Amino acid sequence: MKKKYNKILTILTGFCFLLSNFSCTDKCETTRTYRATVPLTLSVEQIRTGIANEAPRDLENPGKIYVKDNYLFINEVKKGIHIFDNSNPEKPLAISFLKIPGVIDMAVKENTLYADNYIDIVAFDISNPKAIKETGRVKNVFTNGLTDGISWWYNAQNQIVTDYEIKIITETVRTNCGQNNINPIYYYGNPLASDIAFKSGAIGTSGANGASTTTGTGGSMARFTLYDNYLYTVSQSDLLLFNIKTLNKPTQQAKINLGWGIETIFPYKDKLFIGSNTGMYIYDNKNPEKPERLSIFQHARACDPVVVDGNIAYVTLRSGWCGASPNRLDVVDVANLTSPKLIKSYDMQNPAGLGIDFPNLFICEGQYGLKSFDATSATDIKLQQHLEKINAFDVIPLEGKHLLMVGKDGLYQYDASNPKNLKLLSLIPVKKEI
Amino acid sequence: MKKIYILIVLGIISFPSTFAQDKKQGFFKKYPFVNMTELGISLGRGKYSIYGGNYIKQVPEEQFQVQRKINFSAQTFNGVYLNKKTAVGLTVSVDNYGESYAPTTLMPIALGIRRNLAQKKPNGSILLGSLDFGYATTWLNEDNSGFKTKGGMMVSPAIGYKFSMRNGSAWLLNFGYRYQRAEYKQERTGDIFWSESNEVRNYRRLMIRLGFEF
Repeated sequence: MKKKYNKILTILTGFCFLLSNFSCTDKCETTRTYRATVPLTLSVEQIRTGIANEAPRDLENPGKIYVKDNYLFINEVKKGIHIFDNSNPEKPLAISFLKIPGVIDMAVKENTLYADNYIDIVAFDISNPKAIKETGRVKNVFTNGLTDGISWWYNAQNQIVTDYEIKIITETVRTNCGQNNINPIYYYGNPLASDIAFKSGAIGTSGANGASTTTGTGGSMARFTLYDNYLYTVSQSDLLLFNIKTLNKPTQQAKINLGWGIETIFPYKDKLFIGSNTGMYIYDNKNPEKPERLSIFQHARACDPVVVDGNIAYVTLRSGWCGASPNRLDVVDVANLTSPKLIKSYDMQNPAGLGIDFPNLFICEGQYGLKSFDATSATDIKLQQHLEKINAFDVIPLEGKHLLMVGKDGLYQYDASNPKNLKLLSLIPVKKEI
Repeated sequence: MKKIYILIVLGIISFPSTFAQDKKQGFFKKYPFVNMTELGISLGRGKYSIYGGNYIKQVPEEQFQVQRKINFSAQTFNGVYLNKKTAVGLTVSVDNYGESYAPTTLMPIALGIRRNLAQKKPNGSILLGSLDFGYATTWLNEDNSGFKTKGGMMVSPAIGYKFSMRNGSAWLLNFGYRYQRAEYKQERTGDIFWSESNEVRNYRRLMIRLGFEF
């Protein structure tokens, strides 16, 4: 009998031990991965010394594109510039990667590359693209900026730039077993915008940048453009002029206030077409030192790349971060520059960048792909081809029927000799997020 | 598929009992069939971080919130007496965890053992020990879209009383512990937040069950 009780005692003790050891508290741990924007501070020194010439690397988050002769420049947003030798569009060759903190825009004249470096404008000698040298710098030009819906600003007192970066965060949190806190993610910024307020827009056909053939071709949604001996840049509110008579030593010349929400600058003949998110400004640029405002073509608040050919300006409006508006293409008669007139509006899906190689008009429709139009008649623009299932943000039609298109998946090059049947020449792919 | 599984399990459970009712001979004469069906509750607590995500880094110390949890549990044990005191068999439970807005229903299938540990007087109450060890299925569970619940190991020891009745049946009152593992996985979302998560759940509950044996 005693033996039996001992046994029971052992079992009971064991049971109590079990209870005390494991307690009755549920333990649930969630390991989650997500994208979020995290703040990042950079000292002015870090920004200025952060420039380096590196070996080519994979595209991750391509931004604006720029073409000069056989060279292709692809911006890696805020990281640097990829340089490709594109003498054979079927097989672009990666040459190098120029690391520039905060770079968004670029322009090339002869052997000089101009790029922004957060607060500064920097000139580089690119005669040997494998060994690029910094030759000049205009300091403290910009005080804030906005890319992908994320803005940065400069604190002059502390000499610090605060920026945000999209990071992939993995963390383990003790949760309430799915009852709440399933997604308690606190975002600092708004990564939503990164998809919408994308990058560059339309492009000027070569020759659009004045008569000079020594300059390259960039986007008209680009905020940098070259004209005569001047480099024009637009910040959020101003048009900044730089004198580049001495190519590698730019100097700041003038600052013209334009209002708020400036997005793009597109030079055409001796005019400047400046796109803001409320309208299109037309400036007379006969005296490049002192552009004069001729008129404004106003529209709903929207993102609006502009391209111009002849007397016709093509403006795409798209809903998104810049404002809510219908997605459409506006065709504007700018024969009389002081009073532009709307000819016709066409419905679009989500138009971003566009490019014209008259009479062919190419429009990127974001996730809806790339469209090729016949724009012979402004009142009757006809769809010729729709390349679906690709993500298209920006397009550059080059002379020689060659089309460059950048999207989320990389840089596509097309043979556009038949605008009804674009042929893919090559793709520089973007390294996929794992 | 889920439903077929359930039918098969129910079939296995009910098969011996139908036999047991009719003819107590052969195998079941030597090893009498026993069914113990119990209903009860599981008691526990939840303890979780108040501030999730990046916000954690902004508070000096991780803050926790504790919450009481009471959930429903039912189980049925079907087995045979190997001798007068020990029975072995299959235990099928239906356990509910979580609240109305995030319910998780697990159905563990376990091997069970029941043993009469002590009895003071003949025909008196019996001290009953039991142990179940098995794996939880999610056949009865419904997931929110984008999420998937996975079952896991279950261990449940218990101790209690058996009050025998004259007709051979008995009332049961059991106190026990239950450890149950499960996972709750979120597939990567296609949106720009691009989030995915995997929650490892360790339920640790005190069980109070009332039932009968026949």
